[in-house]
Amino acid sequence: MKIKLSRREMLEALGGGLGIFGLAGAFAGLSRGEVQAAGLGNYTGPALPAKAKHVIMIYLNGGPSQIDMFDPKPALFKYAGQRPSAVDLRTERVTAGLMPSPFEFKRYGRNGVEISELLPQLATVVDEMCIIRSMYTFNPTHTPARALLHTGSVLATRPSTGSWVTYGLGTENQNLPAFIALASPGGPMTRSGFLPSEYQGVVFPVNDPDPEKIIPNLRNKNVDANAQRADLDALLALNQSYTKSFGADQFLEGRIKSMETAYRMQFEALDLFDIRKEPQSIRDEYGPTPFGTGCLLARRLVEAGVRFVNVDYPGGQIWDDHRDVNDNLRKRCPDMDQAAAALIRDLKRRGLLDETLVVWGGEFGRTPVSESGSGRDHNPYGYTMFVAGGGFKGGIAYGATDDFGFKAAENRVSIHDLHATLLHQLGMDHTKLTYRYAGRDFRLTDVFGEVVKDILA
Amino acid sequence: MRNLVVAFAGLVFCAVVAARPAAQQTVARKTVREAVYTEAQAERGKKVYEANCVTCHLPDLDGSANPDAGARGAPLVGTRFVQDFGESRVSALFNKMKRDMPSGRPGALTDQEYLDAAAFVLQRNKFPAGAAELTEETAGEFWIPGAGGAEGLENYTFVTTVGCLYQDPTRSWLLTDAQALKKTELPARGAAPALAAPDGRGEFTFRLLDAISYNPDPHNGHKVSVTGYMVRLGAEIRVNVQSLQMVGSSCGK
Repeated sequence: MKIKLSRREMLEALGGGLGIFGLAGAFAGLSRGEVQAAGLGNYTGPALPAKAKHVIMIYLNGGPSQIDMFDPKPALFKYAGQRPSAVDLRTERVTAGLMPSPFEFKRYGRNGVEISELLPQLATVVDEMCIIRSMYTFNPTHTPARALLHTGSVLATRPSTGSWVTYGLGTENQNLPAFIALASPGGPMTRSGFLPSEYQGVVFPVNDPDPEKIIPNLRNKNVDANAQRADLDALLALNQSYTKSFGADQFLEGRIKSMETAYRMQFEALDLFDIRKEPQSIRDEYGPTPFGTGCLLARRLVEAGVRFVNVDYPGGQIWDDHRDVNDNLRKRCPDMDQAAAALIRDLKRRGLLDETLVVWGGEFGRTPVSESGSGRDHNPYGYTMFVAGGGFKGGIAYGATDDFGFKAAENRVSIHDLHATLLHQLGMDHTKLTYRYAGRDFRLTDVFGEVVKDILA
Repeated sequence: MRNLVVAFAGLVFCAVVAARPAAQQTVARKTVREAVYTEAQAERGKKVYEANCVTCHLPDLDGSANPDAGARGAPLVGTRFVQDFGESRVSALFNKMKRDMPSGRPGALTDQEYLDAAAFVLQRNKFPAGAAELTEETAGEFWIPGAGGAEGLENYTFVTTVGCLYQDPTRSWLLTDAQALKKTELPARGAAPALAAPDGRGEFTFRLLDAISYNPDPHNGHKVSVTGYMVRLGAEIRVNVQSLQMVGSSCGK
């Protein structure tokens, strides 16, 4: 009989939360399988057959325009400039009539899924992609909608998806953070909220591929590893003494965990974060851009056992095209398209795509009606995200928006449904991944969410 | 009262002039159709191109539009070139090259080499060579024309034209050798659209949107009449197809 302990229970069983950290070196020597077998995750619900072990979340901050990229709507031409009653939905800002997309859509892959000319590289991997054209969310404003996408709630206090996943499953590599965010501004994308702070995402910039700039000052050039270990052990003893006097403190535990992880990262991370060690052909495939660096690093991190990687398209809320959407997309899509496609292709080539979920999207989409004559407003009613790998069906476009691309109409998928489905593929029942806080059990999906079985292979 | 009428008429005139589409206002511009480089300069530019640009943009300058090559450079010929540089001065092309190219070592060439490479690109886009070389000064004077064929038409105007239906290597459907777009009336519900008459070969190329909904494959290489909505993308003109009808079994080439 296998007794499954949560990580917290295991720490306590081993003589107190803080005591375990002295054993960090012992964990570092374990194989992936042994670490998994050690049950370092906190999920204690029914074990579903897990298809995926890792998640790479590609986030396009601002709300990319689905109508110009994934959701062709030729009917818009017939009603250009008009505002038929069927699309009389409230928008966040003042908007005018319908504005057709000028971009060409072609059919790709074994099922002839239509994809815009803006994404010629992603079009080549469409057979790996499950394009969900019927996403909807619950808020038209960036900050709450971003929180919804990343935490399942509009509130600014809830843990991010990456935190929930690493809380549930633990890590496969004790020498690295389990949850890493590349080019991320933090906030809901990395927040651990009420979960223990060791599950917070660790943010690294990717503007420069030099690992010394991605993780500055990581390697202590003045004190050798043994002396550092002695320092940390001395600090640990002080903290243990504090704990005996004042009781366990989860924030202190989180800080200690972070320091221990940083100590261990010295021996692995600089090599791992050095994409210059990749063959030039691979670097060329991803492209010489910060987003290309982010996607290539994400693959390397997943390969090394990092559980959850968030890759932001750098530049802040840059996909928020209230003006000049056509020109902006023509400038911005090529490097995004190249790197995202390269990531999927590369994971597939290495046999990692089956165990890695790649999720792509923004906090909402954009309206089919124009704003400022050349832009599009926020659209939470219907938009597109895609998922690749991790046991999702490939080569399909699931669901549909209305004739004008405004509102999800067929097989609607809420943001909570997507979260529930992601957790399902990671082997967790979303209703059972809970954390007791302030007197009640919390979930990533709160009281919502249905697993979308139609899109699972 | 008469003064009021005159003033009102004047206002209307000013408003109409101010509202003229950009395409009409550019008619008097000097364009590269007036021969702004020499054959010898384009030949030098070809050598510069082959040494510095060909890896990304490919020998035929079709770059990322070539589906089999896996190249990363933007196409420097065809509709994409028109999109990117149409209705711009040649200096925009020169400055773009000088600022960003060659990839990974921008600004590494001399100004003369950049001008020669620009001349080569103009040559490959079928603009004529002449007696004078392209210089920085003339690059700032001469314009690269837009796609044309839609002068005076507003975005989303319902139009008709005749041309040669052609699927390019990227599987885009184009109407080549097409006549200028003509505004036409939207057909009444159930009625056939007013098709353009097949009267000779035109000079324009339009990319067709949503042609795949009209089973175009059997008509690849045929002369067809198209109606649809005109749409501008940068300086390129496109047509969202609403009807497509064969009017000749060949394009007469």
